[in-house]
Amino acid sequence: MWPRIVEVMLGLWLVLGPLIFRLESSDLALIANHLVYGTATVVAALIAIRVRFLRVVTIAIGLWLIGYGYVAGGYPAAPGYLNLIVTGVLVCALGLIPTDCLQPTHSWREYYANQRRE
Amino acid sequence: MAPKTPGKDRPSAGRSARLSLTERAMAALLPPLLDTWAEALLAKSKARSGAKPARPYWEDAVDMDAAAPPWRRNPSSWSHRIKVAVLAALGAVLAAYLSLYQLHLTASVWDPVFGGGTEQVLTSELSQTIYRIFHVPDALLGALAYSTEILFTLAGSTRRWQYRPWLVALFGLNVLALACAGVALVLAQGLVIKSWCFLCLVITLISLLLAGLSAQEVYASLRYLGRVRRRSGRFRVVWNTFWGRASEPADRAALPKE
Repeated sequence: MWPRIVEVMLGLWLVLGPLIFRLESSDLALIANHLVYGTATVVAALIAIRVRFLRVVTIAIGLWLIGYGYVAGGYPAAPGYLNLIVTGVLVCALGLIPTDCLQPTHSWREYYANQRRE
Repeated sequence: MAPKTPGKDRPSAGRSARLSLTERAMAALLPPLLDTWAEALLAKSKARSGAKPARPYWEDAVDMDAAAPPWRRNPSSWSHRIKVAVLAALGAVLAAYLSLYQLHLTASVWDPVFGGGTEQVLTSELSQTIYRIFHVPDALLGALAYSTEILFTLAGSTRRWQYRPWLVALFGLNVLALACAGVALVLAQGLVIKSWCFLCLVITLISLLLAGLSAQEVYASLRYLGRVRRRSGRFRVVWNTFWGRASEPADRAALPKE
């Protein structure tokens, strides 16, 4: 459960990004990336609590954030692009962790439940 | 939560005379009211837990703190993994501190041993090249690697060496990559840059400590997969076990009675 909560927090961090990094309104694409993918992370994380396989979506969002920050940011990257890369790596790593990560896997829980029925 | 009657057995009984009537009434009424409310809540939760089993069956069926063979202790236990998480957090904070200098957010770096050595290392040709390739300064890459390590340490049950070998493997790869990168960077400091950085050495030391601390868990997971392979004789079963799918040979191979 906690990976999804941290993902929601990272999503909110992205949404607040334009304010925190004081992005200029000329960087419309960068601001749009922060807002759109921040919101998408929050929504995907919340739904993935119920619909397990949806954490694949957060991995995809993380990869996009890394890729966009890397390609559009160039070298040396402005803070906003660096923020996308860093947050993207964390979102990606969190997406790899299952929601029920503190319990045995679903398969093992089923296995023990079947044992009792026999 | 015994209801307290204000005034009588308190040393400050004389002060109650100065309280207004409403205050005295509230002091007399509130504790019993709170107690009734708490009792009602307790009764409610009891009724709820009576409707369905309080603990999921697997918690009774398995010993979640069992020692992972060949060790006599459980390397996936929280007491062990918390140590790893705290060490990794220390590494992440130190690496983030160094990256602040590389991002020109701080004007100087603390180094009690080598003086200006740290700044030479952090602005060296090698550092610039890494920055140019990854678009992220190398210290920040280290901080990120330590952060993902915290995440992977905190994920998984106290028997994840059996239930999620892939997670242990991912964690092990992260630790291994950090340790190798740390050693390589220290070698580069001595051979290429020819100046030393105190905090970088501390961070490398932490990564080596982490590698030592997590080796047992990874080894326990590998040995378990080896036992599954010997018992089942099929690669398919080992593959499924690696990804956390249950099977009878895996169950019997987990804690062999020897």
